[in-house]
Amino acid sequence: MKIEQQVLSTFTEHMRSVKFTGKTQLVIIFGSVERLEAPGELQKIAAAFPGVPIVGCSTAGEISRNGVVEHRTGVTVTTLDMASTDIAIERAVIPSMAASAETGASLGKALLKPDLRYVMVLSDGLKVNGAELVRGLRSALPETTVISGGLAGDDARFGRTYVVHGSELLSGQVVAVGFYGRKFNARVMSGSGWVSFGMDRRVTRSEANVVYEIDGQRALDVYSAYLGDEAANLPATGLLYPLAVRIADGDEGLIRTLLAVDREKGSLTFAGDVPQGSNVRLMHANNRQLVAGAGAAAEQAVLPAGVAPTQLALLFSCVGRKLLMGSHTDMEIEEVATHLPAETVISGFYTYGEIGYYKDSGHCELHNQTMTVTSLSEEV
Amino acid sequence: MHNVLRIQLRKWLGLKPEQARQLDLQDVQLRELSKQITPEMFVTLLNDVDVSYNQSEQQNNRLNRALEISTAESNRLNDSLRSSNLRLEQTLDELAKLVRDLSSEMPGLVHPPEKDQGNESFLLDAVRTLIAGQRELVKEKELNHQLLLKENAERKRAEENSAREAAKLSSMIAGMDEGVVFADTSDTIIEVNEWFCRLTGFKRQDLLGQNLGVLHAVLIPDRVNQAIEQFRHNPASAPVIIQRQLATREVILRLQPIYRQGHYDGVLLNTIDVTELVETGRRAQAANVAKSQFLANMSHEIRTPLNGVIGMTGLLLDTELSLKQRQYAEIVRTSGEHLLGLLNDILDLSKIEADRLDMEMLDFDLRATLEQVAETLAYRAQEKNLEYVNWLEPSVPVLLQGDPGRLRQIIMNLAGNAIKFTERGEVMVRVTLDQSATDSVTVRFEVRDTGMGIPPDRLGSLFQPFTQVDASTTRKFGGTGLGLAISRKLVELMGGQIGVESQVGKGTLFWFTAVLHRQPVKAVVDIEKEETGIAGRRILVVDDNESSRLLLRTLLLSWRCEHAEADGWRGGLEHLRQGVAAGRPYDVAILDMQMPEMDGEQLGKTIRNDALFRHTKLLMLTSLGWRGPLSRLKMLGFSACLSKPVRRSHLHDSLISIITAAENPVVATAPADYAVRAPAGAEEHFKASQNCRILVVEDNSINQRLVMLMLNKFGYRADAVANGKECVDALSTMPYDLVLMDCQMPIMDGYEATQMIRSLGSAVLNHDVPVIAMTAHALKGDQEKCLASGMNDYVKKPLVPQILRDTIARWDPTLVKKP
Repeated sequence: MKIEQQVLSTFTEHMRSVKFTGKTQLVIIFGSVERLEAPGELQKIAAAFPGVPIVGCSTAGEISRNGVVEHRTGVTVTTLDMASTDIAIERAVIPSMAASAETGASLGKALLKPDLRYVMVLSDGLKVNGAELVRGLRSALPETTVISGGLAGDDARFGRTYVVHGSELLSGQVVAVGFYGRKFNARVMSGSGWVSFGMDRRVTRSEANVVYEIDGQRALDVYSAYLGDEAANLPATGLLYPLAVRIADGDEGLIRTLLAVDREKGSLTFAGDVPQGSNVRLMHANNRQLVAGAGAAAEQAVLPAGVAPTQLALLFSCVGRKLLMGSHTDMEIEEVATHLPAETVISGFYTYGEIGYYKDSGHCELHNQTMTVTSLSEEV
Repeated sequence: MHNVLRIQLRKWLGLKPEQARQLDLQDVQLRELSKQITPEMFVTLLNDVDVSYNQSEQQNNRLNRALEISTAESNRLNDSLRSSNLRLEQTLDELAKLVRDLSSEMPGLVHPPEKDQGNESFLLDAVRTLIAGQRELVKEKELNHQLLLKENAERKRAEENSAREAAKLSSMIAGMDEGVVFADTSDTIIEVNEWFCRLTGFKRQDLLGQNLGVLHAVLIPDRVNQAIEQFRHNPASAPVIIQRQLATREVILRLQPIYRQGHYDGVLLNTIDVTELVETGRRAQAANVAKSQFLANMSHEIRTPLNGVIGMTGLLLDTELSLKQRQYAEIVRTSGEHLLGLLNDILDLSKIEADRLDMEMLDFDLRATLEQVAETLAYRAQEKNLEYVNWLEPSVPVLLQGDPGRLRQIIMNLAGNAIKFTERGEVMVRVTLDQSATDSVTVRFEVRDTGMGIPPDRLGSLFQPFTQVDASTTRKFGGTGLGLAISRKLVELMGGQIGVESQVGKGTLFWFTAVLHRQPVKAVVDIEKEETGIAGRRILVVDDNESSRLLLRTLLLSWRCEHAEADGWRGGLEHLRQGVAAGRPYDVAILDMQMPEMDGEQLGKTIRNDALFRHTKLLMLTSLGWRGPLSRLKMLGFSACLSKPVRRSHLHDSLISIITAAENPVVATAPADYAVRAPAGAEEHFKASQNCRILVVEDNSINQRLVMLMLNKFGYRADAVANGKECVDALSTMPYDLVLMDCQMPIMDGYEATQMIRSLGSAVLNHDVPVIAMTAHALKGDQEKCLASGMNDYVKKPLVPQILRDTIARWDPTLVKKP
């Protein structure tokens, strides 16, 4: 597998054409909403790689080995040239939030063919119930299929997000790429670095990603009591205090970022489902912990000895981490890079939700606030 | 160097990550680099550093805040533990004090303080005396105390016992699943349980101590007072039971007197809720309906795939197959049909048991019904070389009203059995008139075989369900053993009787009668008029089988033909010769193909070779399975060929055309019946309208394919969708000309879909599109339901291609001529 990457930060830069020699090619692009929306931009990219399938999405920041691109005019173009691996690209419209699981299942069904090793999922970041999408996908695929991906971003604006297929810019859709072949290796791990504190509280009333009551009290009141002075700045400060969610005792737990508050209803809206009856705790983190979490993910995502070393690392990291770390965001990317072979190409983006695994034996889930590292390689 | 600083420097100096990693604060390179620094770059660096400091401080603050919250929470937890601990200690202290107080009241338990040691002997004595006295006192006191204790303990135990008993009784009453009220001699309520309060809506405390009169809404005061009065005066009174309705509940009130040593001591009122019991009957009724519906649904569920199997196999058999494949496919079809028959039997029986079998009242032609049965069974009879004879006596009116389907079912069952259990000889269905009234007739049907017969001791149980002559019968001949039981029920529903006579080794006669209504007279006349064209013609029948001759004779006589018959070639030729000699040659000779000594073919050849008989036309009767070439018969000089069992109308038409052709040589000679059967003939003439676009709505994928294949075979263009919702969607985008609609489907069924199609509010393009239901429902009323929901017509499953095709043609709007 040969990987080439072009990081473009202005419109005037020229796109290099790439000479392909392998059996299968794929172009993955991550770009700002502005860049992707620019007239003719996608056609220009497509024209540079005639006949090669293109997938991608809008982001809250593009990741490469040089760190995160902050420009709203940026796009990274990564080309994969594979000798023996086959790919299949499926896309689907998400008819409604509630139908997200069905959408996931139909994608999974369509992709399920012999020797499916890895599925990369890029989804609209706002018009989907990510947790259900992943649940649907998982239901249609064997446990052994590695899945990872991210929900498209829109800087930190939460306005509109897109996925890309060919030269089409799609809203409210999911595009998934299946990689087939015995010589293809994939390994995914998510890490956060967030630490929970305080007492366990129980979610007594919630619907999907909206929490109404915690321990029988208005959820916003409970949260405000926790946050003290910082409550005045909700929901902005909510980003700094995500929620640790454990659905059952002894669960590894998921992290959910607070997105919005409804002061009238006293409810909190999170970037993923918070099931009624689950136990929740507040979390905190600092740069050091977040970087350590990213490092731990990278360390575990490294392909095992005996298989071809990682050639492409896809990094899906949460926009929340980027907002917290600010100008130090590159630290976590550098930390990830130290665990990967020097020649590994790093590509990825800051997401509105990561699809990955918390532990080896775990399920693929929708995460918030993680760095999700995907190692890919192809045997010669 | 701190990583953050390294990153800042890297950005600031525009280094690559690898280069930055090697940076060192003491590095010469760094010093070199710093020379390039402009004031603007320096400001940027300071800004970055400032952001770092701020961020670090904020994050520290938040960490502190997190720690504060955790600490506050654990402090709160600690506080609450401490205060509950404190409460625990106080309680313990109080307990200790109580113990101390108790012991001071019993001085013997505590040692007296030591006295001074002056004036020893006196003191000693005094002390001794004192001590002795004290001891006595103590002993006495102790004794008293112990007695007191004992007494107290006993009293306490007694109290406890009685309380326990009372509690036991009260909890027993409370826990009873019926209402209980106790009243004493003055009718004052002294106990009432929760159940009673729940039923009546009273509160317990509002009832206790009150007179029974407060319950006047529940009790019927007069009856109760009367009963209590009786209890008071007559110690031998029996309990009084009253049944009444309380709100929505049906209850039984039971007044039980309590006597103590022969004296009235109060009354016990039990209230039992019997609503359930009362409703049980109602529910049983509903359950029966539900069961029947369940069975109908069940059978739908089983039939749907089964119809798929049978239909698909039928289509498979129409394709080119190897011999083996054909055999296998035929076994699949036969097995499927067998299973379907079984299913129908079980459904029938369950409907009979649930009293849900409705008889139809339709106009029908009894002869056609008998001929249909004969046609269906003829193959089977033929396979076993049996003669199958239908004999309808001319005196039986044929245009009747009743349920022809059920009648056919009975005859099929009896005649089918007869064929099954007969190895050689014949099976004859004979229909005679039993009684005749103005508007109805009682018809007697007999099915006689020459089979193995049934032992006398088995005859009695034949009509019981699940019974066959013996268990081995089931193994050898198959079947459910339900057929006769169902037949008996059906016969009873037709107002008739059923019976059997049998002789082992000779044969069996099953008979039944049915009361059928006459059709209005007008229709009868038309038929009779039609069949008079051959009156007076001379017809000869040569057939070795007596029953067959009997049938032909009956038919020919009913057409008023001149008729003669022979049981073989000799008699036949003899009759022909006599006819010629008398100057009245026979118009037609009907020859049976299968006769001993000389068969019909040989005989025909002989007749044709003799110029003497040139005026006599020949008609051949063959068995259904006869596969010889018709052209040979034509060559030999036969004018027509009919297959057995002979249909009255076919024979009539053949005779007319033979005779007409003989007299008008210009007219085509071959009558319509010159083929053994022409089942596929009609199909070739059929031309589907190429413009008619059909939408098939069917959830079962096999059935869907089946219908699509049929439609394709007819030449229609068709699309398929899987439920009512998809159908409505499809009709909203495509102007289909016709819809074939399954009824039971998930998401939206056929009835609802049709209602939506007809509703002007829906987005459907053509609200008047013809909708034909494909219904597998076996219950009567479903077809009405189809029509009521707005469908135009229906076809029953399993789909019969011809019926489907005809029904579509009837409604195909592209065929309807526009005015």
